[in-house]
Formats: sequence, C-alpha cells, structure tokens
Amino acid sequence: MNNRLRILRAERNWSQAELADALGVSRQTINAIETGKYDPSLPLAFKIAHIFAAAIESIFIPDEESTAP
Amino acid sequence: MTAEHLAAKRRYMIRFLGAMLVYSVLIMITGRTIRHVDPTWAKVLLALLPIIPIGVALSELLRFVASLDELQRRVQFEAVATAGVLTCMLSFAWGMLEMAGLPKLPIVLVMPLFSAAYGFGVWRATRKYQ
Repeated sequence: MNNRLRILRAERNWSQAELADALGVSRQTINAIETGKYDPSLPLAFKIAHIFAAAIESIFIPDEESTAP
Repeated sequence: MTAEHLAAKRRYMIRFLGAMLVYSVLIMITGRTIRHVDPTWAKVLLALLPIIPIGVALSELLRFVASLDELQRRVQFEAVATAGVLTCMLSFAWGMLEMAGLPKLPIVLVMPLFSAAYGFGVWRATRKYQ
C-alpha cells in the first residue's frame, strides 16, 4: 500500500521521531510505513488520520492489485 | 521512543538481567554440589532450581514484548517463528545423524540453540522492515 505520510509529515516539519512519539509507536514503525515496508493496523491508521486531520483514504492509497475484482 | 517505552525497556533490562544473574549463580552452585547431594529427590530439586530464574526471565520477556508497538511485536513473532523452524530442523537433523553414529545431542543445548536462532530471527525480521 502506498501512502502520503512522508509528504504530510514534511508539510508540518515533523521528524519521524516526533510523529512516532505523537502516535505512541517507534521511529522504526514510522519509517517502515513511509517506505511501504509495513501497512499499519486499522487503529493506527485512524490515529494517523486523526493527527493529520485527514481522511484515511487521502493518506493511504491501496495498490491496484489489492483492489482489483 | 516514548517515555513509556523507555520505562518498559529499562524495567525489562533490570529484571531480565537480574534473573540471569541469579540463574548464573544457581547453575554454578548446582554444578559444583549436585554430585555430593543425597537423596535423589534433593538432587532433583537442586537440578530444577535454575529453572526458576529462567522462568522469571522469560515471563519478563513476554511482558516486554506486550509493551512493544505493533511492528515491533510482529518482528518478535516472526523471530520466534524462525527460531522454532530452525530449532526443529536442526534438532531433527541431529537426531537422524545420531542414528548414523554421531554423538547424542544433550537436550540442555536445545534452549541455547533456540536463543541463537531467535537472535538470527530478530536480525532477519528487523532488516525486512527497514
């Protein structure tokens, strides 16, 4: 799954560590999500959306294969 | 790392290392005295004594893993799965080699083998998500 996490974080001038602290996760988790190596759980995705005041769908973009019928 | 995670890690390190220190002392005492102890029930109790701090250390590890975030817990789960597979394969292979005449594998080595495989599993899983 692709995401706009890095872009949204950069717009607010937050470091990965600052975002991680705000979400209660490790910096490694933020890095793994941003690089597409890890997809967050639903509760974490909602926390991320809340912290950026954005809809989940505007932050996380599913790959084409995962949405194909 | 949040203050809460740092506190959980500090607590885990203190308790885990404390338990391992107690284990080290008990294993030395057991090793030096068990041959001179009678009756058999006392030998058995002495032999099992080091298991208590091992149990404490492992329960502290479980408590620490429960305090980790979701990705770190996934890394731990994948590491344990890797360790399980490697330990099963290696101990089974050794068992077969024993039939070919190789020396018997002391069962007490299975836990260190699992621990080493677990360390490899943590390294492998951590790299996967970097």
